[in-house]
Amino acid sequence: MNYLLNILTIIAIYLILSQSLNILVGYTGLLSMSQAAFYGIGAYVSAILMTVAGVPFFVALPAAIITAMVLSLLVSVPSLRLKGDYFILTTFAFQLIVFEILYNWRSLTGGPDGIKRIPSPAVFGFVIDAPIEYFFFCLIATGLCFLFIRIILTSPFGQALKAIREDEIAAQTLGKNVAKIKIKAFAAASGLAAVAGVLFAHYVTYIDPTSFTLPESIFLLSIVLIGGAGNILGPIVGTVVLLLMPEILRFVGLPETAAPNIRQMIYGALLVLFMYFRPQGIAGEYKFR
Amino acid sequence: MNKKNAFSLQSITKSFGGLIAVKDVSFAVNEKEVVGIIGPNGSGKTTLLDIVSGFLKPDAGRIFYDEADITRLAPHQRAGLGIGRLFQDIRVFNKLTVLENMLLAQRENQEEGILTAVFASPWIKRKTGEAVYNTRYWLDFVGLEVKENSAAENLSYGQEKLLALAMILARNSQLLLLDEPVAGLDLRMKEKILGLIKKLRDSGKTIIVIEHALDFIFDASDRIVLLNGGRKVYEGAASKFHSEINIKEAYAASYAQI
Repeated sequence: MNYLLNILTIIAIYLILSQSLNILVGYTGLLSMSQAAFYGIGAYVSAILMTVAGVPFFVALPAAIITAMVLSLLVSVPSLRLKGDYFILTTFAFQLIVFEILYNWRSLTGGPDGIKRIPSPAVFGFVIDAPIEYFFFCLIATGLCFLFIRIILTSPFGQALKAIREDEIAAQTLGKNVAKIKIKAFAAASGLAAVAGVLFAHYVTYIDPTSFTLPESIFLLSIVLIGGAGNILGPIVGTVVLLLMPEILRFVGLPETAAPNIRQMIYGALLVLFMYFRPQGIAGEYKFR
Repeated sequence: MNKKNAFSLQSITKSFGGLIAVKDVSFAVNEKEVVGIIGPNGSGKTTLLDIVSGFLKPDAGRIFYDEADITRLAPHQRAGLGIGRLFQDIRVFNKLTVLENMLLAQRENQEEGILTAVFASPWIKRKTGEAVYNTRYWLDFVGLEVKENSAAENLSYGQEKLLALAMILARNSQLLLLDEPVAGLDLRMKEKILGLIKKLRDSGKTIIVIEHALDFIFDASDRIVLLNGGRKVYEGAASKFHSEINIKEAYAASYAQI
């Protein structure tokens, strides 16, 4: 039972991550390599605030979101004013830098040892620590994030994103401030990734930098590209398929030591095959190519 | 410069690497006037329009619109001032419907915020309602007899041009930059566009047209600017053009230069 709850909780958290990345990849046409960095920023800010400063969860959560959104400007403001592929390169660099900071700023982040004994969130004095409680807590949070994403993507903001994705020049001649709209989209995606990070940190109660690496960012991109970008369904399918795959492979009986590497190879092969034969992913609408 | 909605270019120069695309070009367009820009391929017509709409920055020279210097403004800022551009390769949003294209064109920047989406949906609804009303007026004006809900990619070539025109008109653009508005259109559609340009001029718009179809441009324009090798070689009333200049010679001269 706890095994199942664990998988479902992780899926709920990753649904937020994949959907946040979909705002960029599927709706704005921006390939970002730093989603795991903002996921990590959310996790660390909340964990540090609660363990060191002892602030309540509902202060730590917005603090984590705001920190991620503000830091997102470091990437988006310089890179989105430039043209072409600078954005991908900048997110790539940001991802590496964030990892280095988490790994080396020992006094703040604990370095490779990470942060231990992260307290469970409390809602009106009720501590959410049993696996079933935390699962429902994540489910509600994911639901709220989905509602928020749906509202913004069906709004004029979402339509402006789609217009930019199709034709930036035309959008500009219709008076759209393309850079500004992209900066907003990137901030929203980063804030949502931070929510996922917060949920993750207080779920596992111990975090270290290895959860927020470049391969993790690539894994998130794989979820969106394999599941499909540009609608709500694609990333949901991608999340479920890619998170269940290791569980299924486990039952196939791969040798323990080789399993993680074989998994990486399967992800890579899948990504190449999908890009080649089905660029819109399993259930997506937008061909990122 | 003290006329409303008047537009002028002053000594615009632009080169790409060593190639001079536009050299010291100046002219003005007034309200209720159509200026046609003609010239052989490579004479700098589209470069000039790109400079006017802000996609290219001139190396030298200044651009004025409605009494303000707009030389340094970004494309979206110029669009916000009422400069509307019709592209040679039509740029409507294929995946969106006709209505969605029209709504997108009319939205103000404040309507496209995240916080607005979350907290001000009644306001957005009201603005959208007004825009839908406005959309019907302009689709009717250009004579686009299609369903609002059909996807733009299902329109014919001519209909796409009409949609693109309706989009900039619904934005209340005052200065219209029309890059080859009748290229690839049949005679009936050409007549229609010609009629629309005259109607728009009479309603007070300031219009610049680029076109290779010379019969069309002489019919549509009040004044003609002839570019050759990036320079303005002639400017004068469209009606007097033929008596003052031999167009074949002008075009031939440019080929001789190459």
